[in-house]
Amino acid sequence: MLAEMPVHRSNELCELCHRRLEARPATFPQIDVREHVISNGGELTPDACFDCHDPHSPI
Amino acid sequence: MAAQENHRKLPSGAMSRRDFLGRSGSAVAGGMVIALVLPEGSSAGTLGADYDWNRHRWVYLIDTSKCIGCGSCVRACRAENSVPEKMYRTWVERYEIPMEGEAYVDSPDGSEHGFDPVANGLSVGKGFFVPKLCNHCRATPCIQVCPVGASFATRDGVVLTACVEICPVGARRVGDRENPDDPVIGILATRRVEVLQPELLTRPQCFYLGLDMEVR
Repeated sequence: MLAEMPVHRSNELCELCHRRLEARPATFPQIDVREHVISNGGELTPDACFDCHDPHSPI
Repeated sequence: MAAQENHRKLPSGAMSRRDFLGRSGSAVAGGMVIALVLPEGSSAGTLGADYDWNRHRWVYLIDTSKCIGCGSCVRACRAENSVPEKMYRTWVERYEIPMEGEAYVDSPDGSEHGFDPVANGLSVGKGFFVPKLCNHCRATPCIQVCPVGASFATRDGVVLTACVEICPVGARRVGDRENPDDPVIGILATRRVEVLQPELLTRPQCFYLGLDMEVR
């Protein structure tokens, strides 16, 4: 029986690359997740990013 | 990596597979670098049966202006090379430089889990990330001083490349000095690049693009 491939749906995974950091190149897309979700009328759940974004088809 | 090993055959008479693997294990313990696979798009690709390590001379190029500090390289290195917990063969440093005062530098857990938004709480004038790793020196003090031969170099100066393959922004690249058409070698020939600790005269083969003067 094949093992199931783990799928990480946590916002934390997205934030590894897209969390707003002073040291990140300014042109790289980055956000404050709380601010971003709330300003877009969403609910800040642990996997809120996936409510609007498909990692396999970003934006 | 196991799948890639199926494609690889060491140069005749250079070293047996058993010796190679044994010495690779020693190299891991000693912190020296050895590679089996090069990333797609490099001038070598996967090392095949016809690979001749006398006809390649690998260098490493890091573009600090691209690094986003995600830590993927650190995680990939650990997974690919079985690096023990709390030990690192590559890590990423975050530099935050205020308008006045000294630079603040941190690398929590080697950046394996990324970075928190606030580093020092000060107003940052300039910030950037700098990946660090073995300098891949041609004059290798680590080999000279090792009393048990745990560190050694190969003729082609091969590098480990899990971090290159995983980097989502292309901040890490390898190139072959023996291939004049290699784009990385083109960058070395036409752009201003630096190495870390040049004063040691060890001829590092790990080059940096866009390195800030604050970096040590």
